[in-house]
Amino acid sequence: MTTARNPKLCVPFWLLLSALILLCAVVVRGAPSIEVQIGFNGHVVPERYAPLRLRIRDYDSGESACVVVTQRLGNEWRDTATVRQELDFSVTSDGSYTSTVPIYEPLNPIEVALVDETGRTVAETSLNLQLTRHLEPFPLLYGGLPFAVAEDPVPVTAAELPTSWWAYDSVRSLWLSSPPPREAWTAIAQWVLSGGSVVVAAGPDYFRFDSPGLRSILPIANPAIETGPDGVLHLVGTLREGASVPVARDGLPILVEWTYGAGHVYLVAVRAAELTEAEFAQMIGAVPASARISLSAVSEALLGDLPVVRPTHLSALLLIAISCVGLAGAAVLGRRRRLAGWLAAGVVFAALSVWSGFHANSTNDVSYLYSMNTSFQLIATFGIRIDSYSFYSSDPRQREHTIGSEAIPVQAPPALLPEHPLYAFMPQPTATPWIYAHTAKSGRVTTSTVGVRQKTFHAFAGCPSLLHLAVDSAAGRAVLTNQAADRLSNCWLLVDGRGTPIPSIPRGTSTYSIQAEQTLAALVSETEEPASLVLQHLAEELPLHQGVWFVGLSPLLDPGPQLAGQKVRHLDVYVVRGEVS
Amino acid sequence: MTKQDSVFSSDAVQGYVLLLLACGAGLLFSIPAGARVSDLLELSWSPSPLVFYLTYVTLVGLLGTFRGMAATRWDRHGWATVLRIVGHILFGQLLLLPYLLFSRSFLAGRGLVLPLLTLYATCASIMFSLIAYRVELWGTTRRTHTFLLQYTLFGLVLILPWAIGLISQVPTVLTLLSPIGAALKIVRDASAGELVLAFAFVVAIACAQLVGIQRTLRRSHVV
Repeated sequence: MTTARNPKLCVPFWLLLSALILLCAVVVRGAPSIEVQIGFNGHVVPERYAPLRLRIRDYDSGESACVVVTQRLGNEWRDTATVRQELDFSVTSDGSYTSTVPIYEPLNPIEVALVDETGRTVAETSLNLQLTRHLEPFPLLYGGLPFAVAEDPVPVTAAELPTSWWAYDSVRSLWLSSPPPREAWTAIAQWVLSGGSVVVAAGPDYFRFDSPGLRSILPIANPAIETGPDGVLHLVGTLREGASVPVARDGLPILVEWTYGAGHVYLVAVRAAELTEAEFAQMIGAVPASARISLSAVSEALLGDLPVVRPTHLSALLLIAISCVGLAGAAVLGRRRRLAGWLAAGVVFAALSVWSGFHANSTNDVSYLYSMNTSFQLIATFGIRIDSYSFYSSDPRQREHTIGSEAIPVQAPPALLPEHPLYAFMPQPTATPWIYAHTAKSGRVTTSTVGVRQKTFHAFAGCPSLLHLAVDSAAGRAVLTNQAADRLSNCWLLVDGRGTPIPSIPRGTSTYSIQAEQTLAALVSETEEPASLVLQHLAEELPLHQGVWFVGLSPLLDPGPQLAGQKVRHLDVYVVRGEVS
Repeated sequence: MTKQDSVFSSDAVQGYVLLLLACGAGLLFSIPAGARVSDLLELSWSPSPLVFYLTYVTLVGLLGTFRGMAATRWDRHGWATVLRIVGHILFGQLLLLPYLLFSRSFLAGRGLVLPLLTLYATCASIMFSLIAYRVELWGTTRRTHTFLLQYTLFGLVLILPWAIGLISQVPTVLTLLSPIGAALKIVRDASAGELVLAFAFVVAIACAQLVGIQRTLRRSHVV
């Protein structure tokens, strides 16, 4: 007898079967999994940031979990170090997540794990980027090009274009022949501001590309389309101040170049397919590699310049000498009359104790940790922030540094020893290997100074344009709106590389007459440290010789409550590019 | 003529001057050299401020050993000698008080460390002096030279538990049985349990020596 023939058995049979299927589904669903993509199609550069895209499946426990990226550096022969990075988001359910992580040495597989609140690994995967590792930044291509760029560019899709500007850290030049998604434009413009090189092959299709992000970095104003003598459609417009035409055809520009912040923007005025091979070769030669601006060297130099807090050797010598003389005097007395000797010793050493107690008061407490934090904000239409943290510690114990950055800080080799591999500056293994943790979520870095006593990190963030500089060139006036710092102590207004110091900037709007009195070199030479060091470094990294710029520095400050044994200094540097009307 | 048991006897004053000079050298070494952080980076050798505390504990222990050895030549016996030894050690601590207060600047605001370390060093010094006194008494009754034995014992108690404790397989708590290990732990923030263990060990050894000294003296009276 079959179930089909017996309706009484049919219902329980189907119920049982459904329950079985449901149970199987639950069992299968009980194993969460992770899919990870790091870099642009896996292409990464050591010691630079890379985008990370994550897909989590079958995680619905309701509890929040974090994602931990573990990188192992070096090998047993060279010594190893482990870098553990906790990403800046919590996972509560299935879905796609994005972040940006610093890559150190992708020769070993990179492990990515989903860790729950109890510290249990829920799911993990590892990624081998050995074959897609580059030693230097590489060109990135979005869209298509008719000819090959010098080195094979890495192609990306729209979904792969990151929305945080520091994720483009490993890109040498970005080639755009299709309009990127709207949310990627701001990141691209910010990356260019920080020193990136972008080639926008828009041509007459410009209006498909048009966006506020592109308009702000475009080397031409009032764009229009015109048919050239060759019958080809050209994008034309008014060249912005400082823009140039490195490649032209029949008097019409083919390539227009402009500097935006520390970076370069190239606009191709015709369709990529209409370029000749010679023009394309000329174009490739004209595009420089991106060079990210950094104040790490300044931060290290200022750290080195910090005075050491300690009692003097002379006071210690004096103490030793007086103690010996006091003992001798007490002994001479004590040999005649013991009580007198004891009394003399008591008085002398009590007095010495009071003196040394006063001398060793809190102002002379020896500092074991010196920290120099430099926050650099570069503002044009968009703003970016680059934080540099330099630490010196004479105490080899592990320390936790709080870093208020949006990104996971990346460690940089000290400028003094650039030829050494970075892993040499990581904590070295002992009986139990050192873990070197970066927790982006709480903005903390745990590090030890075993072996190397100085460490430098840098971290990036986007920032609102809290300072705005509008220049009325006809009236010879500059209007600065300051919504950022309470007080900027060292400020300069620079016009085409010449300028003058201006008094401290209050909050609100101030108007200044433009006076280009001194050259940058003269300004540097007459300014005191640390302002001169910063100004000189900025002159090397930014095109201050061109356009109108405002440079402002906060006083070198102790940012918070004085912690015993620590000396922390903070410097804010604001650089604003003026908008000339 | 100064009595030999006086803190102002030539023998004792020499010891105290050496104590002041050696601890002073430790203090000088502990002050970071260089006026700027860049100077500290360029220096290939910059000793830790722990140098002073290690010198202090070692030398105060050695002072106890010296005084313990010398005590058999004094005109006193029994508890009076023990009390006089303690007086010598406390005088040594009085001399080092200005150094200790000066070293407060190395401790970065951890004020409790200093009295704890001073108390521990005093206890350890008394322990060493009693060990030395007992061994010296034992040598006197048997008419044997105990000079090397005294220093060997001093070195063993001072260093051995600390050195063994550094081996990864051995529990690190063993380092607390050595005055060096205990002093390092106190300076680097010891827990209450660790403090109890360090003090208990030193006090227990000192008490054992007192019992031993009493027994030796009773036996020598009988003889």
